[in-house]
Amino acid sequence: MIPFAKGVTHSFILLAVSTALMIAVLYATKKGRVPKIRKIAAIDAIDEAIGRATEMGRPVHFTPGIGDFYGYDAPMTIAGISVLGYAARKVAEYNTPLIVTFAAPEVEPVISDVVKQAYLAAGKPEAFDPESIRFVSARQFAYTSAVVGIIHREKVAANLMIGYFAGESMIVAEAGFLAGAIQVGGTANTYQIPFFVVACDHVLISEELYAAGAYLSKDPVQLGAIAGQDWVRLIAAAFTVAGALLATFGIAWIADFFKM
Amino acid sequence: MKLKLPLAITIVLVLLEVADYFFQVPVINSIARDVTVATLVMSACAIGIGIISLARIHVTRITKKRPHSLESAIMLATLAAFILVGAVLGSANPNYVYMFQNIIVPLDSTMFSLAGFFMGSAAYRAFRARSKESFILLIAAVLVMLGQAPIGETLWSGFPGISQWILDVPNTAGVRALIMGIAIGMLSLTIRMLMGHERGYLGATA
Repeated sequence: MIPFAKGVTHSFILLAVSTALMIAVLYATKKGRVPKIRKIAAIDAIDEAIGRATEMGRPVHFTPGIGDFYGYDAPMTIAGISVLGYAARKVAEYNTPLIVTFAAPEVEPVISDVVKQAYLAAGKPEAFDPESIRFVSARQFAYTSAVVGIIHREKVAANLMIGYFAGESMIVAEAGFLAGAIQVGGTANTYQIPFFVVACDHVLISEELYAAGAYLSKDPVQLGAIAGQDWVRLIAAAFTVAGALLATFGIAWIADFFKM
Repeated sequence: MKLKLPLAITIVLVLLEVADYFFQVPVINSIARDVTVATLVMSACAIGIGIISLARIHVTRITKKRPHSLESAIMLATLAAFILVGAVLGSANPNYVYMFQNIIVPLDSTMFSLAGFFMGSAAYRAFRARSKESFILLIAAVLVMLGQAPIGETLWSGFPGISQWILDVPNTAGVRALIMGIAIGMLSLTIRMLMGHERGYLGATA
């Protein structure tokens, strides 16, 4: 038998059960049971923001933040880049200028490719401007000052901040507000979500960030994965409520199971 | 092939890292450690891509005499100076340390300090009681501020207790709900990636 690392057995069971449930719902979708998932207002607002920038003849700014492709911030960066693909295609269709800024140099080739492919898919490969893809600095606050400068100088009308953000979130979001841009923020960094909530017009909260790519793709199989995610969340919520109630009456076995 | 190969590499590496976390198998643990080191080395090399990208934009701006060419020239000169001093003398050299401490550190601090002012202006907008939710937010924020600031306790000794209760009970419950949702969302994204449905990160091959 393969030995488990210390104290992870219950985590493994939970991971296995959650994964199995999500895959089951995903396969049910593949067989034709397309699930209905709730509307996510902040994602729908991306179209509105791009439309407004188009009407004003001003650029759309997109940033996946300061994240890269490894560690805690990687999934947020990947989720942000998925949204970028959709936004870039819309921007290309409407002939609206796009500016993409980021702080991690390793995401540059991926972002360039995603935007280039989006212009190609929109039938406008000639409109792709490599200079619109801007690595500005790997240092957090140098990136911040560059982004704030770009937002003001280039008078962006839509500011999409979807990815990993830390202490710079409030500064960038307020710069967008001062520039009069319609703003959509999204991060899974719980310390920064409140800043986006107060400074942005629309915010992708919690798992909505990770659902964004699937939601925008309208791919039934990907929507199935989101439905699976919602089922696991519902079960987790049920365990939380049951655990709290039982713990109130001195029965702690649910809490003990999840602690191990 | 252009799609399948990166996808296959992703699947193998993800399963390797998951196995490394959950199981004590020396071979797996050792390979996972090596992969982590290789990732760090690759990311260090990526800074070269960043420098090329940065230089391309600013050199074009200068050669085509676009607006803000002067700032671009200053940026390139500073970049060159840091690379030269760092590469020739080393990053522990007193000259490099002097440059770092007297250019980068104060500029970083200046930018970060702006966050304090922006928090004030954003909070002012958020706390205007225009709806039921913003009214509740306003009340909670005032109570927490009174509990945290010395003047609150001077006015009424109950404020710190109320403030701490708001932070410990409703706030912690909300944050934990967010964290659970984030973890489940992350798992869903990973499954979509492993099954080849989420391909945004694969760029041109997707």
